[in-house]
Amino acid sequence: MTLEQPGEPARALADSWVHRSARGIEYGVEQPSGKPESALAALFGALATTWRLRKTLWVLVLKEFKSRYRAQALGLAWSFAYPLIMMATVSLAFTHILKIRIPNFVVFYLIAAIFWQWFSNGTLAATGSFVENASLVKRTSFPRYLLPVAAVLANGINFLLEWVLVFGFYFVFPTAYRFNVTILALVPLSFLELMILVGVGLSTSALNVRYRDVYYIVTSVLTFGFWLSPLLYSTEMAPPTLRALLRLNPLAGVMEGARDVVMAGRWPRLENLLPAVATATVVFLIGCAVFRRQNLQLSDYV
Amino acid sequence: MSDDVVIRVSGVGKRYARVHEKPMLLRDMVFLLGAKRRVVDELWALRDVSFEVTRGETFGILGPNGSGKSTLLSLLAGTSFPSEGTASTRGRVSPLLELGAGFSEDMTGEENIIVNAGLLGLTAREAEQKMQAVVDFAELGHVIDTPIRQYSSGMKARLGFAIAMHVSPDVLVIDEVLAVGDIRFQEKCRIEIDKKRAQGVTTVMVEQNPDAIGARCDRALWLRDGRVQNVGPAADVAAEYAAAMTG
Repeated sequence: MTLEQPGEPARALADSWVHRSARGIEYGVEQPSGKPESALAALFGALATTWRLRKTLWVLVLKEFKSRYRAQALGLAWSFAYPLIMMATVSLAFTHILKIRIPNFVVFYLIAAIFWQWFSNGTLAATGSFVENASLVKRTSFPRYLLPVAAVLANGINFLLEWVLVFGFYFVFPTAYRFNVTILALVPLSFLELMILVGVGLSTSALNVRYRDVYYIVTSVLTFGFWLSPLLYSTEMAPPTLRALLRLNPLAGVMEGARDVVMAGRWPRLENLLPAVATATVVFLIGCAVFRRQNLQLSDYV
Repeated sequence: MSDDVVIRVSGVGKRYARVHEKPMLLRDMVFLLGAKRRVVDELWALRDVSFEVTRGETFGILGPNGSGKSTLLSLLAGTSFPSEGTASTRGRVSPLLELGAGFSEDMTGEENIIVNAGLLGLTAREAEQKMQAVVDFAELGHVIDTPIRQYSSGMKARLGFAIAMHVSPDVLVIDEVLAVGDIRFQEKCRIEIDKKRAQGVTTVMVEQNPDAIGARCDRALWLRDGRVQNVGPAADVAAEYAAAMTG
C-alpha cells in the first residue's frame, strides 16, 4: 500500500540483488521469488531511507525555499505580507461589515490561516514537483518521494516563520492569548498537518505526471477547501450533523486544536482531534498507495 | 548460476503508450464507470531481451538510433521498469545517463555534490568525505562555491562524471555521455573507468561507434528494433555491426 522506489540505490546493499519487473521491485537474493516487496516493508524502507538521506532532503528543501523567494519581487517579506493583507481584508469584511461577534477575530482567523496557507501552498508546490524536476526523475534513480516531501517541507519553513506574526499580535491583542504548557501541543498538531500534506502531495504529484488536469482540480478543490475549513468560523457554530461532517476534514481538527492551545490555553479537545488523526492517517495511507501505484511508470510519462 | 553475475536481464520487454496528449483524470474516472475506454496505441521499445554481465566486465551496447539502447540502460539504471520480464542488478548502480542530470542551476557546485551523491545513495557524511576528491577530479577548484548556472557545459559534465565515479559504484551505466568533455578530459575518464574496471567494477556503456566498443569492451550486444540481433565477444559483434551498417 505504500512507498516503493525504482532502483533506489540507497537501499541496494553492497552485495544484494535488486530485481525489477512489471510487478514491482524486490530486494534480496539472486533468484527473484516473483513476489515484489510488500507494502508495509516498502513503507518502513522508505521511512528509513528518508532518515538516512535527511541531509540530501534538507538541501532539496533549501533549494526549493530559496528558488521560490528568488522568483518573487518582495522575497521573504511576501510571506509575512500576504497573511497580514488577507487578515486586514477578512476583518474588514467580517467584523466591520458583517459584524461577526467572534471575540478577537483577527487572531482567531490568523491562527487557522497560517495552517491553511501551509496546506494550500504546500499542496500546490508538491503537485508540480515531479514535472518541474523531470530530468531528475528521468535520468537518475533515487527515492522520488523526496521531491514532494521537500516541497511540503520548504513551505513548512514559511509556516514556522509565520508563527512570529501570530505571537507578535500578542502586543496588539493581549487578551486574545492565554499562554500555558499546552502550547507544546502545537508540535504534534503541526506534525499532523505534515502527515496530511505528505499524503495529499504524494498522490497529486504522481497523478499530475499522468494526467493533465490534476493541477486545475487541485486549485479548484483548494478554493472550496478554504470555505470548508474553519478559518472564518468555528466548527462548533455549525448545527450538529453538519459539524460531524466538517470534522471529517482533518484540517478542521488541527485548526481548532491550535486555537484551543493558543487562545484558551487548553489541550486540543478529543472531539476535534480524534477525527483529525483518523482522517489524516487515511489520507496519508491513500497518498502512499497512489504513489506506489504510479511510481513504476513515473519516468515513462514525466 | 554463477557467483559472478552482476546483471541479469531475462525476457525483458518495455512497452510505451503512444499518446499525443496526456489524458484527463476526471474523464478517465467517468470512463471507469462504464463508458468507453481510451484506445491506446502502443509501442514496444524492447522485446525478448536476455543477457548476463559478469563482475568486472565492460559490456557494450550497439545499435542505430531508436533501437532501444537508452531504454535498456534506463532499466539497468533503475529509472524505469520493464513491462515484462525481469531486470536484475547486484550492488550499487551508478547511472550516467546524462551528465549533470539533476543539477540545480541555482545551487552551488558543493550543494549539488551533496544532493547528487545523496541521490546516488551516499549519506551526507560520505559525500563530505569525498567532496575534495570530487572537486579535484572535476578540476573545479575555486568555482565550487558558485552557482552551477555559471558553469560551462564542460564543467557540468566533469562534475557529473566525478560524482558518479566517487560514489563507489559496483556497476557503472554510461550512455554516450563521454562525448561532452574535451579530449583531455575524455582521456582522463577513460583512464578512470579502466581503473574502476581493474577494481572489479562492471561497466555497461552505449556507444554509436563500433570501433570504440570493439576496442574497449569485453563483450557487446547489438540491438535492432528492440530485439537482440547478436551478443558475444565485443570485437566480433562490433565488426559484424559495422559491416551491416555500412554494407
